Amino acid sequence: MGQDAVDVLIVGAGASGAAVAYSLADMGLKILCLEQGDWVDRSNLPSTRKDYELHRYDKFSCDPNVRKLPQDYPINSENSAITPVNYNAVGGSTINYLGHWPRFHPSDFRVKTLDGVADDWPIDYDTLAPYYDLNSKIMGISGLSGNPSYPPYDIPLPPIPLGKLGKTLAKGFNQLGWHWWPSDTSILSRDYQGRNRCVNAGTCDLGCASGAKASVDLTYWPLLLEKRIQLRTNCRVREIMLQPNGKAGGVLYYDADGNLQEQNAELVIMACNGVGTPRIMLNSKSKEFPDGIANRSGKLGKNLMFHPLSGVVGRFTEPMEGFKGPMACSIISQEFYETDPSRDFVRGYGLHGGRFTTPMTFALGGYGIDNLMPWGAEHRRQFDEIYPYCAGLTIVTEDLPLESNAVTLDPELTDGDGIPAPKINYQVDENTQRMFAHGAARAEEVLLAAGAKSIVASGGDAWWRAGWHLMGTARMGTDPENSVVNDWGQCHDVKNLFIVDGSIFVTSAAVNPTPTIQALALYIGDSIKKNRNSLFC
Amino acid sequence: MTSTVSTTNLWNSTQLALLKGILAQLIPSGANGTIPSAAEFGVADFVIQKVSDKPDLQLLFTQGLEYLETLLQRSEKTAAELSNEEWIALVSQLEKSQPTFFEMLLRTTYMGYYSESAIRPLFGLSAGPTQPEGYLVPADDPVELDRMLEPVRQRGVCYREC
Ligand SMILES: Cc1cc2nc3c(=O)[nH]c(=O)nc-3n(C[C@H](O)[C@H](O)[C@H](O)COP(=O)(O)OP(=O)(O)OC[C@H]3O[C@@H](n4cnc5c(N)ncnc54)[C@H](O)[C@@H]3O)c2cc1C
Ligand code: SF4
Repeated sequence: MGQDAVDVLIVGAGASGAAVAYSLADMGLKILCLEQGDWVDRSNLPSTRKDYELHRYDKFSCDPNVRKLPQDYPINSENSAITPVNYNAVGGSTINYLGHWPRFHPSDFRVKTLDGVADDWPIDYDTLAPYYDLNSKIMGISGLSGNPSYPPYDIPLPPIPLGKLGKTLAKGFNQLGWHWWPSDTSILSRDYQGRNRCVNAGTCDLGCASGAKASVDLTYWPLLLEKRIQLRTNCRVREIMLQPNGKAGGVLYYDADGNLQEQNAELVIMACNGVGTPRIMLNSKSKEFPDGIANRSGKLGKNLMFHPLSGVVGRFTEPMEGFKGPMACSIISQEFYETDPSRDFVRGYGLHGGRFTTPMTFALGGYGIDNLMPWGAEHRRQFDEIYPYCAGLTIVTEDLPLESNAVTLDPELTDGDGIPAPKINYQVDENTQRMFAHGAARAEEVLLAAGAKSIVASGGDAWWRAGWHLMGTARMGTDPENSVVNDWGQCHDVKNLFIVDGSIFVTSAAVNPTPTIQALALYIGDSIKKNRNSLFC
Repeated sequence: MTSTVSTTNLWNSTQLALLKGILAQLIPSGANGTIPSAAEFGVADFVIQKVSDKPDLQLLFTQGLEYLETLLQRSEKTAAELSNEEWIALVSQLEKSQPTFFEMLLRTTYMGYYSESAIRPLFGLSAGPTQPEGYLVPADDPVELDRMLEPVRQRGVCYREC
């Protein structure tokens, strides 16, 4: 039986779902959000427990294939060089994300025109700039204005401390005359809007018990509930229904007791992230759309982009205190961000100076994420003589869209409700491999210039369990033959179906995506408001 | 800090002695004995607890320990009689011939050892949970930060206008 129809149905209560809900909240519409997870119990986060590190390898792993919680869906990554990671709850992946917060550059929206690769976005930096600003205030962004690698913009809070490690790395960049800047972070450097400042606990992936890290269960959702937006948790959407008139009629979902329910809506907005959204849309088959709803272009699920990462680590003479402070943020260098025709690759990469890690994670992950440290005398040497003295740089590359990098539906694997699991086919392209080689050599130079006595790890393959950024699988564009949504997130083929998450990215840029995902969601919400007369009639 | 494991119905006393001997090799003691080895830290208890409710892991570990027992029998010595070099050779042999068991044992050992709060202060971390206390990192002096960034500002805009 159908539930009471709503005006707007949002699927997914993560970063993008919350932002679009905020934008639409004042329209006087009946808005409902369906979320497959539940609220996270903030009184019992791993970071408040003595054995906190163990949780990283169990129920608080970023890998759903390790976590295996009832609300998680498995992901088949057998044919992928990188596996997607996430969190499924109110707050989505902002529960365990690391809060590094760089914006796109203006050139990131013009890659075809400037560099002859991929496609231009149908919108530009200036379109999103006001939404980046609005989102900064709601999330509570810390940083330092005046970064010469961006057009000017304001930041509500001062930067988080660089710490010993950040200052040391900065010295290296200055020595070489290269760009660096304190990271923008969605982490509070001061108490802000009822939330406490960061206590430098260094375990941001284990949920931030102090509330300094802007997960949207703490930032957007309290505002949304005040505005009477309805949130129904433990509800997993199986498919989007198509009406005979070619419009989306709502969704079919499994409620908390596993019963199949029908929810009708005037407008459906997908916000399940760059893997979750194509998965559900591919699973929404009909006579009109045998390959998934709104997929006449055949682009749904294709062009998956991740930002392949690799790292370089140096050993210094003094302890670097790498376990103190927000994990992914201290400083960022965009010296090699923009295309330079003298290099053997197109587009660019960032060098990110995050912190180092905690002992168990060093033992199990080594100088990457999944490289077990050696045993025996070498183990002792690594811990006693190297670990405390380490500082490193991560090479974060722009991932160019490739049709062969794709999300499809696994023919056998399913989640607990029998919905097909996503299957990932993904290879790191040659352009990225060349960036890795270039970036590793540059990072070594920085570390040595900063005073490192030796380089203990450098480059190598893309880190496997680092599919943090999920983009491109329902791309934006003006041409319905070549894209899934138009320049304001509306599906070309189904006019009352919208997508607001990273799926709609045309290209990936070489920065963490969430500020851009949320700015886009706010912009799409505003566009829906502007076009409400044609949408709701 | 001696292991409290003396008996278990999972494994016999030789197998337990082998497990503890191996643990002492995987993470040996350090800093002239002031940093305990994995065996001294009672990681055997952690291993037993980890496998106790997982039949597939139990089987893997039992088969691994049985394999070690055969190696020991061949050496015609007891676990206590093995020299340090012989222990290292034994672990290397195990790593080569039983890679699945070895990796699982190594991972479990690292988890057991580094989840001990007493180990963290040896590397400068606090013993307890990271929240709510966290760590003190002083805010940067804005004047000093400005000075550090001066050369970056001096080089001017470094993005492409478009
Ligand atoms: C470990 C980690 C570190 C990261 N670090 C950073 C960082 O430093 N900076 C940065 O910019 N980004 C970072 N990210 C990425 C960031 O978390 C994501 O970009 C962001 O959360 C994406 O927002 P979203 O709304 O698209 O998806 P999500 O936040 O993932 O939300 C999607 C929501 O949809 C729900 N959902 C999915 N399918 C269904 C369904 N069928 N029915 C109902 N609900 C469903 C999910 O449960 C989830 O709550 C990190 C991610 C991880 C995992
Ligand atoms: S370092 Fe700061 S943001 Fe990260 S978990 Fe700790 S308090 Fe939260």
